[in-house]
Amino acid sequence: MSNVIVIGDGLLAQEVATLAEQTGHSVTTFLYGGMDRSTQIGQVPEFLREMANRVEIIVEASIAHRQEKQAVLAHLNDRFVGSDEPILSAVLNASATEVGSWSRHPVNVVGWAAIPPLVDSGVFELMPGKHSSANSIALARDFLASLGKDPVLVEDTVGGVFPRIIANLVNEAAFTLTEQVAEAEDIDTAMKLGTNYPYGPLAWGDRIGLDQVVGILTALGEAYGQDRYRVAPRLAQLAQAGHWGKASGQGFYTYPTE
Amino acid sequence: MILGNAEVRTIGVIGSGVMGSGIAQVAAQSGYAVRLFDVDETLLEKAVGSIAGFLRRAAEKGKLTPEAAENALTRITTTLSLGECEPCDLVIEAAPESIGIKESLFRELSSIVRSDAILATNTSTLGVTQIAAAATYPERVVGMHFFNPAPLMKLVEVIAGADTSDEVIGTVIETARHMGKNPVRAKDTPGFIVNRVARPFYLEALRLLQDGIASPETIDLLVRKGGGFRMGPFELMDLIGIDVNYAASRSVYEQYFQEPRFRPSILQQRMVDSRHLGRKSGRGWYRYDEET
Repeated sequence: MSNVIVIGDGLLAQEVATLAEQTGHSVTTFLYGGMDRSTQIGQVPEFLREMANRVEIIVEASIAHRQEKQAVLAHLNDRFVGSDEPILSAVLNASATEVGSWSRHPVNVVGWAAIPPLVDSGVFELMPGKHSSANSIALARDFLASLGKDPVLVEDTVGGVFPRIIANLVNEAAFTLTEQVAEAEDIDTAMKLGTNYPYGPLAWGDRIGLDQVVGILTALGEAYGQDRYRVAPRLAQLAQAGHWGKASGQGFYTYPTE
Repeated sequence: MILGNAEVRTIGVIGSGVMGSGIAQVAAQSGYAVRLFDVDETLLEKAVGSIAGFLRRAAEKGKLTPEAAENALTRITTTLSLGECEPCDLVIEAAPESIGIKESLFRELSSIVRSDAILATNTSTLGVTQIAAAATYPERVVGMHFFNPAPLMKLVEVIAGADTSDEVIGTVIETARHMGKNPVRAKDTPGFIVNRVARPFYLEALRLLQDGIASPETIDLLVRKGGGFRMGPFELMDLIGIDVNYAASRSVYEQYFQEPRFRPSILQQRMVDSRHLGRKSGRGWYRYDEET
């Protein structure tokens, strides 16, 4: 079992941290943005300074804003000078190779991907970057496997495989809602009953976090073309308003406050 | 003139293919008198045969009583004459997806049914508004989109054309509920809800394959195991038929004036060109023939 730090801004980071704790790792977590609005990215250096134990695995899942992901990498660069802990970077908004280019140690950076809820998932996507070392890849693979899910090797790409597909389903459902083709509940019902989707795409987006979905789409747009990955106006507006879904009490749907 | 307020008792079904016979069965099982029309007598006989077989198997499995199965079957009258739809309160058209065929059917039906009867189309790719425009009373024309297999799939998309009255929508929603379905209301837009929102499921998977990120097997595995989908995109394309899926992609893409999000993939086209259409042809993204 390893000393793990998890840094991220969404449910994905939170669920990975929980999963690591449940599987016996010693986990220290820094959540900001959609998961904890009381903290800010600027506090990462302080968080890293307070790490008492030697860190063996670093998991990064900053999805909503690419510049924040870059900032996290910069802070990690400052803290882990000349060290060789693997950095498992969620590729949802930047490929492992690109994240590697932001790191002083690209050999340490290995990409991974998944989409919440992880309880439904039996796999992690494992995406080595162009510079990932064999040792880092092996450590990343072992760590993901230790969480009780099968690591599946795929080529490095921004958005991963499953998160890219889901983000685009949420976006198309959001376009359908924007254009007032149907009510939100009816769109979700139609996709569950008409084509056996496990969740309605709008409710799923609310669960993942709409800031996260927008983060994936925006990164895909930068990489593969703004036209195809244009964020639906309704989705963009909710994200701008801070209505990020279930965790914030309001998204496509309204959730009772706990 | 009352628009769609009359209680629906008799339902006409136009076309006795897979969808038409499925809809006729659902209607008959729900207690409606059904007039099933087709131009082809052989198809009508085949349809009744398959409905009888379905009902018999359902009765054997204890899903309905033998009497209920028998009663459902006796409620269906087949006809080769469109005029026999005269007493229908609701006519559901499930003819081939050709705008010419549908326009002439709706024109003809307009002069056959009562002025308060509802004319519904089961189209999945054509515009309800365009079909409605051929009818005498477009306000009484509505989309009623069932999913295959109609007796099992719970969803019905109820589509309002530009002129469809709210009363007609209300009656069709009520009728769908009475059939044990879960109706959802949608505006007349390409692909309605399901065939539109599902596009990225296939198109993003095809893009990932084209870019060499992962194989069809790996993408399917990640989608199935990554979040509880019953089938991955490539398995589903093989089941639906790659040609059918490609046609749906093209239809939505063209109708949205080549919106880039809906752009079909060259990989779909190549599969169709090679006649590897999925399960039905023994080979698609996967092989289903015996030598493998």
